[in-house]
Amino acid sequence: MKTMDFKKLHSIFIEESQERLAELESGLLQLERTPDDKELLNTIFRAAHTIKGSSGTLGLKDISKFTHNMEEILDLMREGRLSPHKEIINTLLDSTDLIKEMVESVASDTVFDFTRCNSLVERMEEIRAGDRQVIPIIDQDIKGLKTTPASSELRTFRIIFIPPQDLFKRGIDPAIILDDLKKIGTVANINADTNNIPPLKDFNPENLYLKWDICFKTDKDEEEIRKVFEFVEDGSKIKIIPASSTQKDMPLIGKMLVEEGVVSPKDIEEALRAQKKLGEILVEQGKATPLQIEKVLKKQEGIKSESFKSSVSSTIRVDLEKLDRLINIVGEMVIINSMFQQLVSDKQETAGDAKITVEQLNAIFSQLTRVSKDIQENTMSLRMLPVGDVFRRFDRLVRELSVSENKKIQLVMSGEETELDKGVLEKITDPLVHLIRNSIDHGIEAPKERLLKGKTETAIIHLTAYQLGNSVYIDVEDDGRGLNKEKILEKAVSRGIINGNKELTDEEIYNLIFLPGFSTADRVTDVSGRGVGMDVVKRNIESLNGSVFIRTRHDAGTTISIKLPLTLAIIDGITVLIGNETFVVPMASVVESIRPRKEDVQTIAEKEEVVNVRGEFIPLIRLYETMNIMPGKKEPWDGIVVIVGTENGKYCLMADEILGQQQVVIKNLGRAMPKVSSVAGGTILGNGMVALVLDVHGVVEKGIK
Amino acid sequence: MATTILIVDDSISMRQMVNFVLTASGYSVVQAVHGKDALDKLNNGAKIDMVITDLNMPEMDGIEFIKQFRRHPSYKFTPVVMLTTESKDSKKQDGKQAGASGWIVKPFTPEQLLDVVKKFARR
Repeated sequence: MKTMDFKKLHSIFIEESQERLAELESGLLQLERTPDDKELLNTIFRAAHTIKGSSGTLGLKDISKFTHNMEEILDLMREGRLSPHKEIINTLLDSTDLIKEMVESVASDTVFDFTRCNSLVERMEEIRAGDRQVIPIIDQDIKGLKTTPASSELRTFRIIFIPPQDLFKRGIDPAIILDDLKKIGTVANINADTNNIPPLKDFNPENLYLKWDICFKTDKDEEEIRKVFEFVEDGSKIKIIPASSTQKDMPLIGKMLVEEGVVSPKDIEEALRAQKKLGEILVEQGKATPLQIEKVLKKQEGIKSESFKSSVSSTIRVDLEKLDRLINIVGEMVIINSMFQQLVSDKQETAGDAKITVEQLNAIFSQLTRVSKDIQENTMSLRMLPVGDVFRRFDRLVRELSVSENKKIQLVMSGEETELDKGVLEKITDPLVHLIRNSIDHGIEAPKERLLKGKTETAIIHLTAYQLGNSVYIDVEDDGRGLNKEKILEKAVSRGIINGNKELTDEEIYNLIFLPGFSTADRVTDVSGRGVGMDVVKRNIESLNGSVFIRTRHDAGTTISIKLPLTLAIIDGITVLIGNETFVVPMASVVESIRPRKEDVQTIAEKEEVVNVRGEFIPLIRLYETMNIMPGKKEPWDGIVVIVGTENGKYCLMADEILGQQQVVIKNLGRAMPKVSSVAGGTILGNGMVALVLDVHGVVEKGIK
Repeated sequence: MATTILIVDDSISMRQMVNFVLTASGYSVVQAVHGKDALDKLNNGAKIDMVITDLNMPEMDGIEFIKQFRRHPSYKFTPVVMLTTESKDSKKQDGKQAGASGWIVKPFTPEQLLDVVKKFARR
């Protein structure tokens, strides 16, 4: 039994714990606002309870022990003996964070330093002490863990066992207990007392009327014998009388020292707990410097979070309803299959006279088409998760940042049920964190400043998700001071990003903040200005085929909208031919396609080619040059240009010809392919050929260089 | 026929773990996610020899489940073991009042689980 491999249960544990941790976190945050919500409290309690239970079960005793403390506090709240003060919520939130880290180290198979729990455990014990005398967990553990090894000495006990009459009704057979006794010793003599059996007319076969007197020989101590009676102790009379009372075993050196009066039991306990961390010992011995240790620790954390990511992204929990729907559709497909079979066998029976008509085939095909589309849609929906899962984390972020920034901020979320592809969801978290931080750090004014402006003291950040057509939008809207046009311009000029005498529209000015190295913050603060700017946000979103928009009004606030495709895996695209190769241009970026006249293609400045499209000059990118392949058509007026729209404006992509428009399933190119910025992935076309799907942003970046 | 044990727990990892340990030792297992689910499964004809139930669950908690389970004529004498925590002494009492046969203190090891199961689910 000991060799059982629990590792494979770890991934379930990790996933479940993460869900529960999210519940804990958002629940605790909510509890602060609605302290009387009993149902909420129950949910929170259950979350902690489950983490404790499953971690303990998987042998992760330290996690379990730690979570136990939280559970105790939550239980006191449930009983109404503690109320969720800010201090308590803070402690519980910090503890939740620590458990998160513990779970992460399980995920990454690294060692978590549990001495880090000590101060939190103390804080939690203090909270509990506020309610009643604390029974420190540590004592229980020592009691439970350090069972003294049995001495080989045999002792005799007399056991008197008088069970309650209703023992059967609790599903217990007294024979079980007698059997268990035999496992830990020898029953030298046993007497069943039948005096209590009533006359037949009063006899109830569902009752137990016997009692036993047992002479028992064992090398175990009384406590272990009592354990056998554990489940019947209640309601039974059990007497365990040592025939020859022996001293309790004194096995360990510690115990001997205690006996000799050299040290107290507490000293032993402390000595055991005072074991130092490996790093500290090495530093003490001069074998490593604190700096070196810290470096390695940091690295270890890096490893942790990396492997954590990989271990969590591989599984997904699916709404049962979605799965049922899919199974139903598959059922329909089976029916279509048999329809087809029927048709063929009907034909064979009539000895070839009746031909299968086009109508008959069409009927089946139209069904098949419908079902395939259903399957496609439903399968895709399995990957869809509500954005609320991600949104809820921001509650915490805003709460903490408003404290550290001395600002009053309320986060209002809506559209949490909007669904996004899991892959997209994972990748937008960081950009959203950045946007929210930006809002709090730069956008929102200090309470005093807000009052002076006639605004409410408390600022509001709206985090909204909604679906429009084939895109999902996520808006981060604040009612802060808005972007400062002059300041942005000034900075852009001073950094040499633009030259001073160029006329820019408002929109162009605001978009300057997306350029690398740009920050409107005058100072580097704790929250932002760490070198990760809006350019990274933009790039991250664009790598998802999404885009970012800014709307801002002076002193009224800023809204940053992120537009994302519903799913990453299937896109509408235009297939184009270049030489012998087929490429797919994602439809989302396509504006139109034209065949330019020769005189519309011009070269401006030194080398930049543009196409005059109804008076608008759009830069030309020859795809065959970018992709480095032999084209069929060398000049735009012989081939075709696809005009694509990006955040930086429109571009003409030149190809030989357009083959058509179709939905394609984007496949990852895999590790064997080096990462190419101009290619988003590969796909298999209807004719079985493989085509590359262009990453329009990458192509443009490469093409204009 | 193998001895069948009903596990009632809202935690998937707990169910998986118990299921894993029990099936590895030759028991067959019926899983339910809370008390109501368990009663539904029994009403639908699931035959079981023993129950292991958690106490804290949504919909119907362990205590209420044990009470209702005991009222069922076929399960008057069937062993019911509850999964509990050390701190829940009062709950343990409630469980016994309701008719629980025994308990397993969380966290527990596979050995402890099997010990208790062997104790009650013997033929």
